Order: sequence, then C-alpha cells, then structure tokens
Amino acid sequence: MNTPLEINKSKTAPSQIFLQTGTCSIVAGITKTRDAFIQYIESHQIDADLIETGCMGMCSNDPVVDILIPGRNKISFRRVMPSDVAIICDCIFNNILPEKTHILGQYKSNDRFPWEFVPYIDELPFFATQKRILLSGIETIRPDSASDYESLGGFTALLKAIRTMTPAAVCSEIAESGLTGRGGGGYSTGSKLRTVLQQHSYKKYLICNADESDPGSFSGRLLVEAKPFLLLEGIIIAAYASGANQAIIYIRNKYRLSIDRLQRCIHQLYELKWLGDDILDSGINLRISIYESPGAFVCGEETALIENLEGNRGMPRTKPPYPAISGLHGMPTVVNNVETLCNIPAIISNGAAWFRSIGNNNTTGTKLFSVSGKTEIGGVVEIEMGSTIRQVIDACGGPQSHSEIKAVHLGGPSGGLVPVEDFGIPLDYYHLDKQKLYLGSGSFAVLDQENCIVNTCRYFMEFIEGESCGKCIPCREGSQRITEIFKRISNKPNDAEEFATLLRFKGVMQLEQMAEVMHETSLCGLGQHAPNVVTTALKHFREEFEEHIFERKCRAGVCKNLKSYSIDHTACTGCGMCAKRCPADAIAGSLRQTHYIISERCIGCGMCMESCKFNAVILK
Amino acid sequence: MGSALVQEIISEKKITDKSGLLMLLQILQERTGVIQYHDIVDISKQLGIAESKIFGIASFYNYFRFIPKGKFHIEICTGTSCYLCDCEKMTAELTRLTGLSNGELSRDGLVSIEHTGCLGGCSQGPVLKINDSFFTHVDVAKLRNLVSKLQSGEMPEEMSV
Repeated sequence: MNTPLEINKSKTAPSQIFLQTGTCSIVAGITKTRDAFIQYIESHQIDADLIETGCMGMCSNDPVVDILIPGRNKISFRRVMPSDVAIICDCIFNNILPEKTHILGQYKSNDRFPWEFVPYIDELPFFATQKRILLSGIETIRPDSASDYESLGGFTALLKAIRTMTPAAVCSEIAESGLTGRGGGGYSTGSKLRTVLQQHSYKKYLICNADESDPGSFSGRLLVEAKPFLLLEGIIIAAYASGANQAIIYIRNKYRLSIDRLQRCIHQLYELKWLGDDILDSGINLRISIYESPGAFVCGEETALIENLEGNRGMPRTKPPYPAISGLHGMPTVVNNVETLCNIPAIISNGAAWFRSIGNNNTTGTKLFSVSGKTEIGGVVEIEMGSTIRQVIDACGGPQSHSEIKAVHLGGPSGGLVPVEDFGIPLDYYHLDKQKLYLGSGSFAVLDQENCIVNTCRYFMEFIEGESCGKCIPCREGSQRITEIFKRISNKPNDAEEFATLLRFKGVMQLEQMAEVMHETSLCGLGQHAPNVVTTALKHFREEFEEHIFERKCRAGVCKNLKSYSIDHTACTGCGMCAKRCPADAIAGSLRQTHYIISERCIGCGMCMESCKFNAVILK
Repeated sequence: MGSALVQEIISEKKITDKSGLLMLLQILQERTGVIQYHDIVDISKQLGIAESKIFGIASFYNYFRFIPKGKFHIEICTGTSCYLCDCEKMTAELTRLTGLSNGELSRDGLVSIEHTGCLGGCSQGPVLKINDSFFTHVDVAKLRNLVSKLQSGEMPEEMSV
C-alpha cells in the first residue's frame, strides 16, 4: 500500500497521467492499473509523468485516471482496469478519443483545445450540485507536496493568522463564522477554542479526531488522504488560536495510507520550520504527533478518546469538567474532528462573512456526506448546509436501476431513518433537531425495497451492542435487550401459537419504552443516540414491523428466518436438481418422484428456488 | 522469544508506565500477529501492571487478537455499505463453508476469519480481504471458489470488479 515516491517525482513532462489514489481506489485495484501504465509508458517510450493524487469522491467509478496531453483539455476516465490501459493510451496519445464507456468527462481550461462530445466534469450533476470548498482541487495536487498545496492557495491562512492576527482575534473570527463541530456535536468551534485560550496552563493539547469508526462514514479519510496539508494547516491555526503547544492526530491504525501521507507532510513542515520551536518567528512552539488508535466506536466521544490516549479502556468520563477545562492528563484540551479543522483555513483567509454566506440561516458552511447504498454513484459529496436530502440523492445520480428508494439512514449508528416523504427536510442542525434526527459525521446510507427496515435496525443495534463500552447500564443492557427483541421479531417461529405473536407484540411495545430510557439516562452520546434508529423506524415504518410480527413476512425478503420454502407437488418432475444443490441436505426424494423440503433443516438460502427449472419451489 | 521481544520494544520506545501500554501492545501485535498469554505475563512483570488490567485494556479494543491468524486471514467487511449490499449472506455462507465464525481459526491453521469494520471499498461491496489482496463484488459463487482454493492451500488470484 506504500506510495512509491518516484512516481510523484515531477510535474514537468509534456503529458501527465493523474492516478486518483485513495483507499477506495486501492480496493478497486488501482495499483495494478498503475503498474500497467508504467509498463506502457516504458515500452512505448512516452514522455509522461505519473502523478498520484487524492480521490475526487466518485468512489463507485474507481479507479479514476485523468490524462493530460499537450494542447488538449485534461480528460478523465473511469473504471480503468489494467486490461483497458493499452487501448486508452493507444488512442489518447495519438489524439483520438477512446471508446465512450470509459470516459467520465473533461476539465475546463482557457488555453487548451477541448475534446468533442465529451461532457465537462463540472457540469456533471454530481459536481454541479456540490459546493466544493474542502474538496476543491483535490484531483490536481499531489497529497504530500507542499508546493502543490501552495498552488491551491494553501498556507495563506496560516501566514495571515500568525502574522496579522492575535489568538483571540482568530477565535472570534471562527466563532463569528458560525462554524460548528462537524463530528456530530454541533458545538461552536470558536467558543471551544476560546475557552481553552482563556485557561492558564503551561501545557495545552489539541486533539484531531481522525478515527472514523462509524461504519458508513469515510469522508474524513478521503479528505486526509487527498489533502493532508489542509488538515495540518487547520491544526496549526487552531493550536495558535487556543494556545495549544502539543497537537495529536488520533487516527485508526488501519488507515495506513492516511498515516503514511500525514507522516511525510509533518516531516516536511518540521523541515520548513513551520512546526517545532518558534514557528515563523512568532515565539510559538507546536509539535504534532500521530497516535495510532486500536479502534473502538465509543472513542469518537471526546472523553473516551482521551481515556484511550492515556492508555486506559476507552470509556467516557462524566462531564463536567469538560475537556476544555481538564482533558488529557488534566490539561485543557480541544478535541475537533478532521472536517471541522479543515474548514478553519478557508474561514481565516476569506473571512467570517464569506463563510456565513454559505449555508442557511441556521447552519453555515458546507458538509461532507459519505453516500453509500442504492444510489447510482456512491462516494463523498460536499453539499451546502440547508440543501435537502433529495438534492444529495439527485447529485448521486438518483436510485440504481430497478431500485426504488424507500429511506435514507442518516448519521451512522447514532442516526435515524428518514422516509421518502421527508426528503425535503433541509440538512441543517435546526431542522434535523426538530425531527429528532442527527447529522452525525455525515454518513448517508440509501435503502431501497431490497433492504428490510427491521433487519437494518437489528444490524445497527447489534453494532451498538458490540461497541457499547459497558460503563453505564442503560446503554449496556438496553442495547442487548433491544437486539434480543429484534431477533425475536425476525426469527422463525418455534410454534405458531397465538401466544408467541403476543410476545412479539409486547416486545415492540417495550422497544419504545426502552429507547426512551436509553435516550434519557445514558452517560454519553453513543447511548443517548443509539435508539434513534429504533424510534424513527417505529414512527415511519410501523407497518413493516406489523408484517413481521403478525403475518411473519418480510417484504424485502431479507429476514431469511421468516421464509419458508415448499415444493409444489404438481409441478415437481423429480429431476433432483434442488436436492443436489441444497447446501443443507434439506431436500429428500428419489429420482422422478416428488421431492420434499425438510423444514427443520432448511436454512432459507433459496438455492432450490434458483435451481428449479419448473418453478416448483414456492416461497411463503 | 516472546520475552525478548517485549523487552526489546520496551527499551526501543522507552516505555515506562501505563500510557505506553497500548503502543506496546500494538507493536507487539504488528510483529507477531497475536497477543499471547505469556506476552501479557511478561508485560505485567516489566511494567508492574496487573495481568488482568492488561487483558482488560487489550480486550476492549477490536484490533487486538488473542487467537493467531491463519495462513490465509479472511477479513470480511461488515460496514454499513457492505451491509446494504447483503454482506450478511456472505458471512453466513463463509461460516457454512469453513465451519468457522468470527474470530476463529481452522484446526489446520490454514484459514481464519474476521468480521471487520469498513475496509474502504464502500461502493464495491461486499468486500473481502484475504491477507493483503482485495476481492470486490463478492457473491456466493465467487465465495465458494475462493474458499475451495484456500482450503487446498492456494492463494486465489485477485479479481476486482
């Protein structure tokens, strides 16, 4: 997974090939594509530079490769597999357009000749709907090159802050901009920094939470991989504003690419003397270190994170005292997540008024969403605050073919389900709060008719059950009991007695009660927000629960245990195909005789139904 | 051997107290792949922390393993995106094919299974990782092929998309 540095050596050759390299494209196989490009360039002796950039967020089109040849606009290709490299290169380096299927679009420029019949990238709905501030220029710069970052206007904010502003002025500028914590807390970043600045202490800490343990949230990882210098600039400014002299980037140890790139960037900043003692002759000392965390969901909570840094089990502390007063090792500590810190440089260089002009009256700025699930394009989008859920879905190309979107799960395991009727809700803290929804770290999972609401709830509650730290009882016991109830609803009935139905019904009644208790009495955000998914599901998708309970049927066909297969005796020819394919040996019968399914052995995989050529297998 | 390694890491990283414990455990696992009981005993002696305390801290985090990895370590992604692509069908199938559930190692030491959080291939799910290679858009048929190859001791060819 290491980035070979010689690839990024220069940007001077006439032709340039940009490989959008992030964790997502590595999974999609960009390393092999890269090798194919190297081989092609060497064997055809083409004067071209290979440049590794960050991923521009269109993850479902990975691996994305941009090629620039002299005199022509830069053109972007999607899903470039090693086998496609030769064809694409053969065409493009001879000034011919290759086959349409691989072309994503072209980038606008003033002095180059455009390609005919190729759409412009910024006019694609995916990019046109977005307001890209954090993600701007992501596909043009080498992540670990300070000069590339400078060419995007980087470091101007840092110089402006340190040379012309006092720490208090930086705090008030950020406070005035209305920037709030993007990790889910929604607390004003400026006032947090100011609180720490006002503390008298010889040591203050700034912690950047880059550990996205939310399943379904990957925007921070993409940002760190593509623009590590932006994060570092944000950290230095925030440290200057709060008077912190030690910054710690808390990152998941599995994010190797992020860690490698960050380490290289931090090293460069030390060499430039922008880190260390007396940075930029301002008399300020700042050190940045990377802490590789072994990972736990609850460590997204700031006090749990601090416990982890101190070498303990990551369990939240009771607040107050808040970390801003007494945090890591008892010192004043600011904890902010990647996205929040990355917003700071733009606020400083463009001013608070500019930032306030983005978003709506309630929440300012933009927000990154990690879109996954049943949309045409999956990936990371940056949307102005106050846009609607429908706009996000439309940006991502709408639903996949054959799918009909039924809900969006917003905000990761602590978030809730939004039904189609509510897709017009503006995405800002005020409106979401009113609906008892939660933005979280921007996870945006799109569900369609093939996803079962009950099973989705069970999935998230099982996740919470596994990740609950166990410190407070409502969360520890509550999540277990709720998972049990869900399992009972979606499991095969032991007997079909009325009594069992009553038990299941009672379970749902208790769900609501339990969710309320968890919400009211849990110690930290994890427990308080954990039952959100249950309450929103019960509110909007009650009929699906009722179907599971009374009719013992899952309309999405996901709850395998509720399915029962049987063989239609009139249609069965006794070919034996189903018995052969059945993985559980649950089908009995001799050749040319009607077969039977032994229901006790059946695991509900549906193999028999797939294999039967006579449609004799019936699903109930 | 274990004792020497613990000693080596402690002196290399100058770990003196509990705050370095997690780093020590992480490096130890990176080098040996697993945290064994005798390592915990060693650390306890070296740093003066109770064994139970060390185990308590280590077992809290998902990363640490107490069962060694097999020759082929299969990681199957159970993140939200993969869940929406029906990864649960894959996990169930994997368990049925190998007889192993989450965190277990086969008796011959060939295959071990781990259900992980997001592996990063969010729009290519379900994603599977065997040692260092990724397999995307995995379905039941692909999974059967993979497992039968693994069980015969061969590393299957990478097949993306």
